[in-house]
Amino acid sequence: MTEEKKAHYGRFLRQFRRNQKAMIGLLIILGLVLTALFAPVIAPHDPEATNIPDRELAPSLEHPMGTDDLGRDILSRVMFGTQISLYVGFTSISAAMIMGTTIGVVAGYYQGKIDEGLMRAMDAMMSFPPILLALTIVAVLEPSLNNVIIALALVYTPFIARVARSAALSVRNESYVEAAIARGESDRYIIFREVLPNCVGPLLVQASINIAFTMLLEASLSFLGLGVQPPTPSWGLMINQGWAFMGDAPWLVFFPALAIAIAVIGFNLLGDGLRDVLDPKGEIIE
Amino acid sequence: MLAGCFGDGGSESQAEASESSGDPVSGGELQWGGSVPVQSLDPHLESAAATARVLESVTQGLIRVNWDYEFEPLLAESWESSEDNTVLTFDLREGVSFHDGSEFTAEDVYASFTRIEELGGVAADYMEMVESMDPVDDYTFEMELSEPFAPMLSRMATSDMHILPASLAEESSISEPIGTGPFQFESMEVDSEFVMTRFEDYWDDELPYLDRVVKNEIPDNDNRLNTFNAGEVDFINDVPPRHAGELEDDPDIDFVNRFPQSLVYLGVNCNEEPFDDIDARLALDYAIDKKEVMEGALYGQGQVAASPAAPDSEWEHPTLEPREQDLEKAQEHLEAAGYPDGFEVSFQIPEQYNDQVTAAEIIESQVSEVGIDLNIQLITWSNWLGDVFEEQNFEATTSSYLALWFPDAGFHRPFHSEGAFFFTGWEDEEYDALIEDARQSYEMEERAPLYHEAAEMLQERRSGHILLYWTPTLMASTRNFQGEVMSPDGSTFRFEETWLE
Repeated sequence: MTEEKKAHYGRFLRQFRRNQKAMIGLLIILGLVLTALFAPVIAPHDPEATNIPDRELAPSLEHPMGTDDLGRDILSRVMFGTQISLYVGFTSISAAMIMGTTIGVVAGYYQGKIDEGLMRAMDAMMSFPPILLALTIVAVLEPSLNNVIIALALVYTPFIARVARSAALSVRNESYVEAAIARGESDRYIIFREVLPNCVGPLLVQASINIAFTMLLEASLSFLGLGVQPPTPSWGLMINQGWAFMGDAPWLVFFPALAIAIAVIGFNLLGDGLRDVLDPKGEIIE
Repeated sequence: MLAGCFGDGGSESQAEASESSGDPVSGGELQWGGSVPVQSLDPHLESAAATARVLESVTQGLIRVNWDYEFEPLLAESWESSEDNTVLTFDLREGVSFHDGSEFTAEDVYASFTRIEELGGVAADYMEMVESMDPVDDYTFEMELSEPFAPMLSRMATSDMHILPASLAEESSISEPIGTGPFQFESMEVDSEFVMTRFEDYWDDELPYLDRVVKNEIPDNDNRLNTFNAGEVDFINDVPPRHAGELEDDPDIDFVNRFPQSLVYLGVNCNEEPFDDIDARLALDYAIDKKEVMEGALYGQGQVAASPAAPDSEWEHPTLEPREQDLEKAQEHLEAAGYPDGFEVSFQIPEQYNDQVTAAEIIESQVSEVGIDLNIQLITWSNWLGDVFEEQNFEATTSSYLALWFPDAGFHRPFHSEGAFFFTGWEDEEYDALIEDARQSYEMEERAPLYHEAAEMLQERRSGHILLYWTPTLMASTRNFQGEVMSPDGSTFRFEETWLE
């Protein structure tokens, strides 16, 4: 790492650490990641083991979040649900990042007809509300965990592509890119060595905000019965199945809903903080 | 005569249901909160239970079933069969008028049955057994069958073969049913309400007691219960099993639990691996604790099932019990089938049936103990009918059969290889022959043992249906709604002998 780069990262880290929002968000996410990783160890019960005599028990020491209609421990299910939410969030956003960045950088770098064609297609996709587009894709593909991930990746690709394009556009006109072109470097070299590294900031911000949305959307799809299939403990599915018991056993819905809220807040805070640090001019689309 | 004929129904279940405090009172309007909206009112062409449920009070058949699952006279005062059981002769009730004022005669029976045959009605498969029909005179109707066929009488006791006036029977679709029943159709607004009013010229002068029955369509379970608790309706059906306990304990409410509404089963595809092997089916059967499944899915309001014969009927096997959960035996059968470590199959569940979704989750958890991995997929009812039933593109599934009070419905339709609901691919020539024999025998004493044997065969040879439980009809009413409203067939209602105090 060159001295210049070190200084660059050092400045970033200092600013990041001073940013309260970012730090709180990071702590929440760290907590979620640890919960997901160690769920099999720390969860007090088997999340899928039914136990009819113990159904719908109110929160107690034995079951801090109570039990659901099949006697399953809700705390354990919420913990294992973290795995599903994070898995869906990270995989779908990673896929969207790969597709969106490719499309956006290519459009922003080459401009002209390629840009027009790609970005109008992205606009067309963005003209649908995300939930509607995701619902349609899942309905066509059949509801399952993997298809939810595919649908979410497709839904969020245009958001990433837009940010990637605008970042690439501004980088394209920088003198160091013009210098590289003058040197006769290949497109490949310029895109990977000059353009991409300078787009990372805004893309990271966009991804951390969108990941919260993908987790929310996964919960929505599962709530509508078009996502993860039972008995897999997805937060959205838990709310769906607990809905009928809202009247006299509200803990079936309350705790998974709380988990969703915490996760969404965590990623949003991180995204906001990152933006303050990386993108003070505000190019990000929310 | 009439009183005597209704008095026949005095079995235990009926007596305990009414807990009647006084004599019937005439008049009043019953507000009923109904669960499944009526979509169509054609008795012959509509197979939906919701339609049969209201038509039971509007149109009538020649005979009907009583609480002992025997036939009692309705539009026919008596009937007999020839020595060889191929000719059925009905003596029709005189002085009966339809809601449109016309008089009921044998011509109406002829026209109605002809309509079923010509329009391909729900009972058209039974009409194929009819060689000829003859309205001998106004009050005698004769039907000749190509061979003895006992289920014909049972089918006649359902709305599939109810009698319409000859003039109406010419219509290819019926939106305003006319019959001889105690109530006449007044109006219907789909998904909102169905109204019927007292028929003044009903042939039984004493009946009905109520002036009007208004069915408010409230498909949402909690909504329906709340409407009832708020006092807006006098009577609701399909009480969510989860709330049965609290209603049972409420002294101001009559809570009634009646069998059978439907039989829920786990179906497996016997044409494909792994369930083409009886050992794989037995392993699954042994791995399931049916009692716990029923407790979980129906909050203990159901009954585990060992035979497709209606519970507590003569047709039911007196001692047969479902296989007890036995994980060791399950393991042995898995090994015999060549899957010592278990296997993984898809498990398609129709999402609209909450009890089946719950049952599926419990079964999934139980059988995972022996390494059988059921991947639950919630599917829509139309996908179930298309993929699972029509295409037989499935490995394991759950579903249900409605109201199997007569044994041919329970034993022939799903299990005989030519049955109307046959789809699991489990074929057994001996079983088929046995059920065909049972169709030809008219006496319960002769028929019942055949069905007992059939039930044993289904279990021993592990048919493609692992029976899970009978769902009950759960109803709640205010204390001033009196009389037995449930009909013995398990899925329709008879309002004629109910009243409001």
